[in-house]
Amino acid sequence: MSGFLPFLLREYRLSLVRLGDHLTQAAFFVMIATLFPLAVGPSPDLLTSLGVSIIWIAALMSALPSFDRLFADDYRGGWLEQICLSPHALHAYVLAKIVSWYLFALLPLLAITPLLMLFFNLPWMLTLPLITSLALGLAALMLLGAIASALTLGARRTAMLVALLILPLAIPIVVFGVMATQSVLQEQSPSAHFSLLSALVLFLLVVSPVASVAGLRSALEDG
Amino acid sequence: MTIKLRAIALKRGSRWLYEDIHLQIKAGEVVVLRGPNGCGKSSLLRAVAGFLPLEEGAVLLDDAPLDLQDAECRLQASWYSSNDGLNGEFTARQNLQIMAGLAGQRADLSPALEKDILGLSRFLDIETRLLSTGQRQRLALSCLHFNLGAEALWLLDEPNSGLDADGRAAFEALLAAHQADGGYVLMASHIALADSLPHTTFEMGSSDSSGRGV
Repeated sequence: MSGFLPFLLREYRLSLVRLGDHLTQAAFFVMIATLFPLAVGPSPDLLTSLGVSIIWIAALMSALPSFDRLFADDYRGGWLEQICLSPHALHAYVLAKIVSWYLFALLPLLAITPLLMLFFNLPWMLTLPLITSLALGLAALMLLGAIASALTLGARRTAMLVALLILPLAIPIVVFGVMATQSVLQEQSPSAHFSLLSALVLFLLVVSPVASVAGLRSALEDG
Repeated sequence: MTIKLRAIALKRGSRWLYEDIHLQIKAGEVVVLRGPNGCGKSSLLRAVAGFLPLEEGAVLLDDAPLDLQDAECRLQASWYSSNDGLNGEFTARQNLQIMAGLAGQRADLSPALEKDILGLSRFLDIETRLLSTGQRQRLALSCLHFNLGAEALWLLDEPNSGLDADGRAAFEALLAAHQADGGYVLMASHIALADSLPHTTFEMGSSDSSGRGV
């Protein structure tokens, strides 16, 4: 794919500049998850049974608000026009954006997850399934976020709009993700849930760049 | 090769900007769009670039449709507008490297820095957001160096609005070099170019009448 690596290099440099924003997001994740034990009360059994769901929802809530900024700066700054007229493909740019955003904004959430598991008294054997399911779920969420972000370019106050667009579509991701981890807790095989989650990611991996490119192009018509 | 705009009609929302624009750009020609604010100069540039769909008419290259966004297109287009595509967080040099890479030149900055007619060397290592309007414009215009030659079309929207006299002279030198190579230029500007630079002026009327070539 023409231009993917140069685009990835640019996004990597931008992510280093924005590292503060991404870390704020990770801190937000910890804060949401920390509030639950305080609100629910110190009952270890209750926390263990709720823990996986709470971590999932906290991850979702902290990831969502950032998506509306995904393409906004490049759109307003005229970078998209430059790509369209260059020999490189808009498709490559969108993929590079998704990959770097996932690595810099969402993977830090996975790194913190083991710490949060301590708060909820979750058994250590859940670490791998929880992190794997979150990694897949956040990838799917990221791909949905790219579509929503591209479609809302040019609209005002998009943060809530993007969240509203994504949340209904994120329901299957949450359901399969939580069930995959819970089934390990109940000593059942999680493979069916993981397969469904992976299928969702693969499906979105095909659809999302195409839909995002279409959204960016239509935003350029209003530019 | 000649670029032809044939019977172009454009709309913004429900408002017609114009219904019948005819315009030609020959190799080595600089065409300057002139007209009052709101007469659709920028929209015409966006339409030629393919960002804005045409209501009617066509943009042709020697009678074949011209799609500048197609990677197989025989012309390579450069775009300048006040949204210049530079990122404020990067230094001027980094932005230049990125633009060179985008033009497929493997981050080779020598075409832009060899003679440095736009005087970039004074602020190359400063973050772009800290540059003045004129400096930033010089930086963006110097990216045109990456697209010189007979297969290059420059679409420029108010490229010289923020430049001082020195900068305008440098910009005109850049245009002259491009012209000598047989490149194409279509630009919108309310600042007249020097008479020493051969160029064609295309007057566009007020918003309700269409312009005719001079």
